[in-house]
Amino acid sequence: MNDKSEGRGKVTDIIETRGLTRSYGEICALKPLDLLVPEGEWLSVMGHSGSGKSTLLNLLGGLDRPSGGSLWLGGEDLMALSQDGLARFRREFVGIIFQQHHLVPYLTALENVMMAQYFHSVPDEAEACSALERVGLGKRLKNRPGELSGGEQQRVCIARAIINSPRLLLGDEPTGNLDHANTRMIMELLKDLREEERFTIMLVTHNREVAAWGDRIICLDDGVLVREERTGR
Amino acid sequence: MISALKLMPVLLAWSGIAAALVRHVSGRRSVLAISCASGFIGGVAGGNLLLTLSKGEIVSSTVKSLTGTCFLCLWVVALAAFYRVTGSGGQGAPGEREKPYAFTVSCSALLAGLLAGAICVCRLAPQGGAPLLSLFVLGTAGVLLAVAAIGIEQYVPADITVTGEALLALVVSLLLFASSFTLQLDLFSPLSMKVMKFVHDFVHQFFESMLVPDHLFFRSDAWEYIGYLFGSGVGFWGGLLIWFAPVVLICAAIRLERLPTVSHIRQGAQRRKLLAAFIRERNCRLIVPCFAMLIMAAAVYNSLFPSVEYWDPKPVAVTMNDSGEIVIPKKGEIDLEDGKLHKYLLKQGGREARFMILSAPDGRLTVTLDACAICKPEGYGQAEGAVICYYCKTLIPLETMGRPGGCNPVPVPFKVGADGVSLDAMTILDRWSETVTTTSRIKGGGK
Amino acid sequence: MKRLLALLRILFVSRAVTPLAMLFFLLLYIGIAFFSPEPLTTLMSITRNYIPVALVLALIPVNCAVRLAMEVRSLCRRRAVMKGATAKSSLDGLFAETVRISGTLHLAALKGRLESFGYSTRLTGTSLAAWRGISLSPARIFFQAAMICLFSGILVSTTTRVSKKVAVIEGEPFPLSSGVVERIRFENRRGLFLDRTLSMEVTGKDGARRSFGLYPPALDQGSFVYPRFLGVAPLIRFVAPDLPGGFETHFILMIYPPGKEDSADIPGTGYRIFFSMVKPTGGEDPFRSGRMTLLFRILKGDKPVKSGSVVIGGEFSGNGYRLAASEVRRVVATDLVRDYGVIPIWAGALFFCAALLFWLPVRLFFPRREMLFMEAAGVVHACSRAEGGRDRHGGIFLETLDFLDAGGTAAGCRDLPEDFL
Repeated sequence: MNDKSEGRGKVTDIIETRGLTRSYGEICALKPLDLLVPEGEWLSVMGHSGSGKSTLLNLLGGLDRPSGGSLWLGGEDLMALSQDGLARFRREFVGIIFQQHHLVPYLTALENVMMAQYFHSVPDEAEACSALERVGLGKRLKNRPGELSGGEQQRVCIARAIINSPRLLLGDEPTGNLDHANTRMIMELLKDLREEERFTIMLVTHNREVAAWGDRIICLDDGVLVREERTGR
Repeated sequence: MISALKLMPVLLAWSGIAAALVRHVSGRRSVLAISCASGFIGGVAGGNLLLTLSKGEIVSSTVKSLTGTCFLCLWVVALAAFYRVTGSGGQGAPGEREKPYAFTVSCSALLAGLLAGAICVCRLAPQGGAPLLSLFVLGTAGVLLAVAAIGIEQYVPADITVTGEALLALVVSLLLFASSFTLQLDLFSPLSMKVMKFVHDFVHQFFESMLVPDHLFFRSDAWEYIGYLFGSGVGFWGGLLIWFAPVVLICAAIRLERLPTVSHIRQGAQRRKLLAAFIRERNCRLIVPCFAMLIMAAAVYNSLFPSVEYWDPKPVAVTMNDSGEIVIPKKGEIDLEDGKLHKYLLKQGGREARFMILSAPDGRLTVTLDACAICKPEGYGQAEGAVICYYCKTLIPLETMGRPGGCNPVPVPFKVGADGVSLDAMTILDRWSETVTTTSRIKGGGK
Repeated sequence: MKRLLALLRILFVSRAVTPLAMLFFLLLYIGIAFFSPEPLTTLMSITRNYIPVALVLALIPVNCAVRLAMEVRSLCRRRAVMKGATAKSSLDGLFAETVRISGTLHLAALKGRLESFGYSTRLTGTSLAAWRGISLSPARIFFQAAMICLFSGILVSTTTRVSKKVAVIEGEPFPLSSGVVERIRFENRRGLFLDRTLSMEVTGKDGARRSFGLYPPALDQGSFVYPRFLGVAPLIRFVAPDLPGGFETHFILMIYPPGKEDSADIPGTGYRIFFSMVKPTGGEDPFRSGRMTLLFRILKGDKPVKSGSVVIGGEFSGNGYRLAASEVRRVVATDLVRDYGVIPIWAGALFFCAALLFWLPVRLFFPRREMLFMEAAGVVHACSRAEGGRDRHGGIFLETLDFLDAGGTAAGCRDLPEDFL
């Protein structure tokens, strides 16, 4: 954890950024950002389209390299990692849920989850079955994504994201394509899983209701953190 | 230049041995370099001294016996490794292997160097008498290559680990590969021959012991299948099985190692990470034995297709005179005392026979059939101080030509007179018929 | 004394004994091969004549017998444990993995969970046994039985076999039991491996008839009657210029099938006659019909003096030599073998086949996998064992341990209403 240099965050901070920026040529998608997220917190990131929230998520997920500043996740300096190291870190530390699911269409739900295990270490069918049971898909193991509803597909994504016991779960508009009922169901699921697994969640959303499920909401606008509030959960 | 080309593969095999030894012991490079160098120089010097003092046959059979002993040791180690893994305690975990003793590895380096040096000398000059300069160059080259290999080894990825069994497999396979370039040191051909003999004896003994009726009562098609057991194919495939089995057993022992117990870990991802690390490390340990298998295959290839040209002259047709004798002048168009094999073909009354005349190193003339009492009559060739049976690839030293038994060509009575070598034509024809009838009766030849 | 007992225990119980004993014989064979052209028969002879070598061979069936007993005992103990006899001490050595978890056992939930994975279960008191597949114990038992039979048969055969070569001749007394060989029949009859049959019909003094066939060889007075080669015994009358009185006797000639050659000496004369059979052109078998032509070569010392052919019932004469052949009788060169090891060796082969036929399909398709959970003093003992399909079974076992650790609930298992799906 972050116990090495002065002026750094508390020992229990899972995310620590200082002056984190990302530019694409002349366009600065994320202006210098200082952010501390303690372990176990549910942070919601809001902002309109182009505000830099997805950029922030990509940086925290190791999917992109910052242009400047520092980024520490779970005590690891991501700027110092090589490509291989970043890939390993991504596999072991982070779980990501996307709006578009990105499930392999010709694999069953069980196989999609086992694929995440395969890239992490070794597949384990029994563990994958248990993970799908936990998200309520115990009877849908052998179905392909095309045979599942939007909510079920997202639940498969959640199972896939948590199967490797990540410490940080990132979601990029996970309920963007879902109706109200399914959105609520997914949020309840994430809440229960967080209580069981004790991981930290960072959800990016433009939906105020979804954001309100978190412990804290930050708002970005043109790459700048403009507002921060506690939800009281 | 030709000698350098001849020795290059053997020297490369030696450098591979040095690199494998240093990888196994992980450090102590200087001690190992000294052991390798002294062993190699000792082998070159000792081998050449023995070749000069005694007959080439003794040295090559000694080196062959030592290499064979190493192969037997590999078998024992492979069986022990396989037995250990298939027992109840076959569980392993990464990083729990015993560190090898540097002293043991140094001694092994010394012995391997001795054997490799001797093999190089036998390759350079099988009958001895290599010039001092050549020996010096050979010794220097061996030492330099070993030192270079030890130096280069540190650039080989650290993931490729060499366990004790894998090290022995690699060292033995490289020694067998090195010796496969010299006919007199080749082990695979005699192994096939012995396997053929064993299977033949076993089948005979089985039939007798189990009171199975003789082939006279068998269906011809059933006997055809049994006949395959007496052919050279059985020797070849059986030999291959014995040849590759130790390395295969070592690979199996590594592959079948039980995964470490993870029942005490309650988090699935951690369990899987531990198992994945063990599997990765286990797969890396398979690289060296698999490479050893390729080396063994190369040794077999060398044995089956040696880069030696045999002296195999076309048989000269001869006829008998009025008194039923064949007379061949000692000198003339053909010099029978030139130390080379001379072949002749006799045709008489619908029958034919091939025979050969050779002057042995001790000056005596030998006359034999171009066939032996065991193998299919595919004939003989001459190469590097020996006569070789084309069927079973057995080498018959020139000193033993003319003596009966084993795979030696069947001797024929003859007289040496003023006008040359004289033989009885009917005797040759009868003896050829008798020999060929016996060896051709069963499919593929054999007793 | 203790060390001796410990050594004996290792010798009888250890898995390594049989392979080490075989290795000993392999090394011995290799050593013999360097010095002898007949290594196998030399090895057998050494085993027969040297007791220590025979004792090494004897170690194998003894070791296998002890291991067979251990296998049966292990099978019985495991069955008892799976049925609910679950004293802690009785678990030692029965399972590959044993784990202790603190907590309580929710047997019903656990039972349902394991059944959903395809396991059969048995709930008894404070323990739950789960299994699927078929045990390979019968295959292991067959295998050990095969090894016992095979190696004890080899030991008995090598050390006690007695063989005597006799000639069974038509019209002559049978070598073993009292009786006369009435007839030797040799017929074509296509079987699985043989296409000819041979039977030697013997009539006893009491008129009882017995027939000794080819295979399986008949037993007579404890010896197997093992027919080897066929021949003929013609009555040969030989006259030579220096033997005007002639010589007449039945020569036993092993010259069947045509192409084989045999010789007979005229005692006290230096004459030796080589005989062979002419291959009939008509396809008729000379041994069956009794009609044959014999080729002969007469040698005096080493010098050939005359050669020719003679038909049975006919005569050859030339240059003072006369050779007549008549009254040909059939001969079977037979081995009378007293060997008590043959039957155990065949029994061993049958056991091997049985072991393989059982092992292969079971190992491939129905490997045995077992789990046992028992609670004692607030601690749950979880045991696992798999004879095949280890990866899958191991995964299920670990998940079940997680399930127990989570308090016996499938933590987070959410059965949602159908309309959410």
